[in-house]
Amino acid sequence: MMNSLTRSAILSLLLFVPDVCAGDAGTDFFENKIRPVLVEHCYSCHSTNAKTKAGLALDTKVGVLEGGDSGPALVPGKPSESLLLTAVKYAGETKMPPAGKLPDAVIADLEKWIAMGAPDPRVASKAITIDEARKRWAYQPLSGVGDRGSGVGKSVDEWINTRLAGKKLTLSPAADARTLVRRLYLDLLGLPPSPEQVVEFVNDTSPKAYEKLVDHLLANPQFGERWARHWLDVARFAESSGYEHDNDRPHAYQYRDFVIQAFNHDLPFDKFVQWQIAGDELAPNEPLALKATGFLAAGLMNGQVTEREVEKERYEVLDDWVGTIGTAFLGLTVGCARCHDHKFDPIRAEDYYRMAAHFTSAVRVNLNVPHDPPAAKRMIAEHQRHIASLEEGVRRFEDTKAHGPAEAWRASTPKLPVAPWLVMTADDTQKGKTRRGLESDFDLTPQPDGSYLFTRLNGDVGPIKLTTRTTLEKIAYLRIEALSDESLPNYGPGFGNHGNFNIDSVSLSITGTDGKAKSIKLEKAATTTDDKPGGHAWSVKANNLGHDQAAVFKLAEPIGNSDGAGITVTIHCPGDSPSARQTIGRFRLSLGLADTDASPTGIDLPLEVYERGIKELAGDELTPAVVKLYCLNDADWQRLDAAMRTAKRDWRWPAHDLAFGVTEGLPPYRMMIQGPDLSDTTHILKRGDPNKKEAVATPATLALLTRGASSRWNVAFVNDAKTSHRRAGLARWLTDAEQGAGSLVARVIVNRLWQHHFGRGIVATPSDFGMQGDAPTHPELLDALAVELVQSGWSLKAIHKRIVMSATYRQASERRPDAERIDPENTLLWRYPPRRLEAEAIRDSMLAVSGRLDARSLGTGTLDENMTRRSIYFTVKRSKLIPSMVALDWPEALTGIGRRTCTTVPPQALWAMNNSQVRKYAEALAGKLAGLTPNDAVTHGFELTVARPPTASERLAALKFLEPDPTARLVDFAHTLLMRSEFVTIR
Amino acid sequence: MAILHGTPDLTRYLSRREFLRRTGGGCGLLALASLSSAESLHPAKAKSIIWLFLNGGPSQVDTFDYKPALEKYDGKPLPNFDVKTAFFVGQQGQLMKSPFAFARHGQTGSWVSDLFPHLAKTVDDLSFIHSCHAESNNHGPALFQINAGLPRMGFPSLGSWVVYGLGTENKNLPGFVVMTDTLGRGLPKNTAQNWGAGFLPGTYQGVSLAFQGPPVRDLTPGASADRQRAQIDLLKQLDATGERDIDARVQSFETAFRMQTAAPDAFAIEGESEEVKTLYGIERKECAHFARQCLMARRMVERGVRVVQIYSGGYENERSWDGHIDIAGNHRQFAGETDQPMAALLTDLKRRGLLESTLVICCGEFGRLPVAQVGAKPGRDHNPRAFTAWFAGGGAKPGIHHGATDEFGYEAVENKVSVHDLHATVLHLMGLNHENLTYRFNGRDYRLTDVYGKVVKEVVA
Repeated sequence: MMNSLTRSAILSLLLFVPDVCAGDAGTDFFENKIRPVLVEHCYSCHSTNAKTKAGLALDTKVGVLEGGDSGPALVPGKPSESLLLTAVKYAGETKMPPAGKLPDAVIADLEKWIAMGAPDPRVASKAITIDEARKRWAYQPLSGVGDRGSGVGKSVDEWINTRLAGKKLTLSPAADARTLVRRLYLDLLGLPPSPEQVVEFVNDTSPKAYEKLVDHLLANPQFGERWARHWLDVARFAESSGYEHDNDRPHAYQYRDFVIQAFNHDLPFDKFVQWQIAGDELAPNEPLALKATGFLAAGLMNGQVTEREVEKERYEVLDDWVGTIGTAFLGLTVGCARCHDHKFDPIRAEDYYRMAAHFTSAVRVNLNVPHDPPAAKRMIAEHQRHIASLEEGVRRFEDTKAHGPAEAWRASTPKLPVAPWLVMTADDTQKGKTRRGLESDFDLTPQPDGSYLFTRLNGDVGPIKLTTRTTLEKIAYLRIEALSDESLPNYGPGFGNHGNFNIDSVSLSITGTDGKAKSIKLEKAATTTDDKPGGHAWSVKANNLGHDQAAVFKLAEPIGNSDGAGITVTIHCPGDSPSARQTIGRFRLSLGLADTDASPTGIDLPLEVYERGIKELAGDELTPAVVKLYCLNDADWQRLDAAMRTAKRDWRWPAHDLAFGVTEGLPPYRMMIQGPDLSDTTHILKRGDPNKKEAVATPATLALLTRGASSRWNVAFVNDAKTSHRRAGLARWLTDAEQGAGSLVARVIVNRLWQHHFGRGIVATPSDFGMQGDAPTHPELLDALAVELVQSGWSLKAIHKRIVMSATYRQASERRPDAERIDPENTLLWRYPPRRLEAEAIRDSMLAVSGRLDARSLGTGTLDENMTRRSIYFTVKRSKLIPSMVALDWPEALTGIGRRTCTTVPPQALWAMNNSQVRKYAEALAGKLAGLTPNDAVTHGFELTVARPPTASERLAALKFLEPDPTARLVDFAHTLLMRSEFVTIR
Repeated sequence: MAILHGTPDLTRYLSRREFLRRTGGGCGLLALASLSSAESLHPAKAKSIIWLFLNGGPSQVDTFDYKPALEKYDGKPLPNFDVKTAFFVGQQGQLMKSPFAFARHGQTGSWVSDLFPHLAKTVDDLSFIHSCHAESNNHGPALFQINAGLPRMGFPSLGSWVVYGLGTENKNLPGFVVMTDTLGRGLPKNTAQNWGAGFLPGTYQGVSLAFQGPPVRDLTPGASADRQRAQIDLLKQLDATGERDIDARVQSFETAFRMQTAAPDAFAIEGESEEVKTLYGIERKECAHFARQCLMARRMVERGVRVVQIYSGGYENERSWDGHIDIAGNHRQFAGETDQPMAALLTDLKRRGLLESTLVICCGEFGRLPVAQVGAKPGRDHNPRAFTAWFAGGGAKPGIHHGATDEFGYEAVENKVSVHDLHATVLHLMGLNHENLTYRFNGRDYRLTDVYGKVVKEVVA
């Protein structure tokens, strides 16, 4: 196996690397004397393209040197030791060629050739290096990119015609207007034209009619819905995690919407690429850029990972990112270099890991995407200023106006105010081990208001124990406030998919001076979330997200010790669950005394201030703590304090969406995973094994496609940035057509566009431009389009227009026996290639012609097959793919694919015949034909479904079908129109 | 053909040839199609194939290729071990004896491990080839090879070639049906490519039954047979374009139409007797899924389905026979899922007189190494150098053991049988000459066996 692999590897290199000795005397001798002999007498049994009898291939240099079952065919320079010579001389057991001995002169030539050292220009004799590989067409920078406005040297048609002429072929004549208008609608919108739209185009006799239609369709928002789906295949887009649990990703649809909008707005393709890798870093103020990071997030993620597997799993995620970036943008199977240097392309394992290192700290998250990020920033800042000023007002009151009355109050025999909620700050915080006995790894950062915010969470979270010491007695309540925060998904208060959280249990214990801890039973008494009382768990779900919430728990008995006691509150809020992380994000704990108004939204003071105030009340001085105590009963203070608390409670975060994407510095989306989500470093791994770490991988772009210094792409580190900006650098390299990978990226995308317009790319392997990929049929055309893309400011619509305006695109699709004989596969495009539509376009066409299409765009999808929106709005759940779509070759969304398979199997026919939705479409279509004469119904049915009236024989057949009972058979007739091949064919 | 199976399939055959001759279209695509020669046929016993595919690569030395030396040299290094044979090169340890006990069974005294107590009772019907070897040590390419001859994508699968060569005996059912894991463990690597038609017309690709829900969706006719018949007749008139793909598509409506009545009947295992159900192990949770598939396979070949392939296990690793970790647990589990149903299938076919005309094949895409893949629970890594395949029925010679591996079961050494040879033999048993069963594509006559393949005459009865 190795042998044949190596051989084919070397062979494929040969095709592209010119041999250094081409053109010298030895080569001339080979070409004139040797090659013709080999071709005539040997190749039929010994060539890689026919047979390799006895394992011997003589059509390559490698084949000759490696030889076959009996060993090398020859030893250069040593005719006497060369089996080939012995065989042709009929001097040994093997006599070749078997049909008869070669003429002596020929044998003499062979002998001379071997003596010369067997010069053989057919192969490169050494393994490919990066410098050599760069000479390959795909890896060269596009020439002429820098000369803006130079335009495309030749038109699309000229390049196509040149190749056709080489085979004495010509383009077919232009397709008729009805065919063209249907072709354009299906190709650009994925929907057929209505009869009115057909007539409008057919009747428009102006020379600009076609161009007008092209412009019109490119500007239609349904264009994005059509072309986004092509990209979603490449992006392995799905809305669930895959694997056994296949957890939903309710906000993943935002990425699909990003792609639709990007295509509709003709977002420059370089930005389109950059945002998908690092939109959060490069354009944080663009909602679409944040949603674009869903590209990275879309891959599979194992939902249940053991500690042993956890590190490997992280490398799987990195692999998904590197591999998908490779195939999607670069058309390179970079992922192959995970375990070893790439066998065919000059990509070393080190390149792979250094590319992966850009993503070391990248994590999947549910991102807050404000509708207007700058405005949202202003709004939040304004709110914070407002709160600060209210707090300042309270403080000023305490520092000034309150002094007089407070002094009077203190001088009298002060009656202690009813105790407010007393906010605990911890003297001691302990991280308990996780359920599975692992260490918790997180940062819990105290906030000025006495709350705690998870600022870093890496892995599962065990019970958190916060202990405070107090001499208070009669502690009777515990309040937990769950507070919203900018850093939390949906602004919190939790880390769940929607900002929800789930506290499994909360418990409280008291430790006296004797060091003995006694746990006190808790029972939920009241919440702002309308929970039923009872129990010691609390969760915040759907309706209560995005603002502060609180729950009060009553202690089974009042506790406290005037000599001092430790009060420990333990919150168990596990980081994992089958449906994603549900850890609380920011919380504040308060104790209430027996007389406290135990309403969840009650007034509060820091416990420490309250305790100190009581102590200091006995002294002679009016201390700030004493003033605080006084104020609790002061009506003016109460008004100010209430205004401040109301402002906090009533705050509504800016209008926003959640989007499943990727960023850094936030706790990652997480499922049942044991151990950390990520580590600080990415290593180069030996054979892909995390247990065999080699050097730390520092981020670097692929050497093969890097012609400039990394400083060219690096983004200066921004001080307050939460992210490393490593991805930003990678993204800029990807789109740099001069010194980075941009030339290849441009070639790959224009080839994808070409493929979808013509059914086959100029390079037939759209995601593999490497050594194993197919060679382009029209390399100059590919480059010309790529250059034009870059020069147009990376406008995809410019390329679409360039392609569909060509005569090549506008030619007829009819068969031509003369041309078929020469080019049976139509590789050279002597006709427009008819082909079956994709699953989405078939179903969408049925909806459209039956008038049932619900054209609302964007937003959440559904798994309901009865939906009547376009098929791109089906939710892509990996374990529950929409069956009718799957029957029509929907991709599995496991890895990106550049070209769908196209099958023709009876289950597709069963769907068309028996599926209840299809029948409904047929009924609706029949409804449009009802009331017409049979003749008109046939005409209109054809016009609706295939944009043309029937031919005479078709009409005859249809009328005959309807004849027994035109009314009763109308639905069956309409149904047959939907089953027809022409209906599901773009031609 | 008529001579062949006593079935007047000649018309079908000729019309298909005619169809291929006159058409030249393709799925966006046009290839010149031609059957090179009708000389590919010879009389044979087998009419159908049931291919029990143990996905992931079962270990020969833990199943049917008994190696006492492994006990003797347990923990010792494997001499001349090329570690690159393995997929995980750095994880290879020493020789490891089989965790399963072997014993001799049947008149033939064939060695079978205790993984297969039921199958052990049928050994005298089996025709073992112990010297199989493949080219790739990687699931994807190896699956391509075992299914389609070359360790690359894009070539027609064996099932497609057979249906292409022999046509179908029942126009009402697909000629080639595939069943995959129904326990949610995924499809094998390469997914539908494993049973794809490659460059053959799309009608020859395997039809895989849905692994969730009813086996074939939308099977219940939406209208009466008369009305659907009329619809399809109209469809044929309206779709007469001469494009190859469109012809294939119209053809698929015909098949679908007939499938509506034929398929539910073929899948209706509920009507089988309790005795039969018990025989297959349908009541046993651990093997119920595979038992149902084996029973459906029998019902299908009974009704003339040409090729049925059943995949045991899903994607890879612990979801299949891919015992990298814990070979003992892994193989115990998957043998438990398949042993009774496979044995029952053989018994059932035999007593119905169907074994004669049904070639049952059992193998994976490669074997496993005799050394341990190191770990707390040791496994075995991929080994394309040796694996065991067995045939039963269909004109295979029962009760023989052909070829042998070295004393450790590491490498096939005696009467080596390549995947091409296996394919040549299967085609031969089906009455097809692998060198003459060709299809012209891109200017070249392609074969399942490429330019290789030798019929293993020793296993032909």
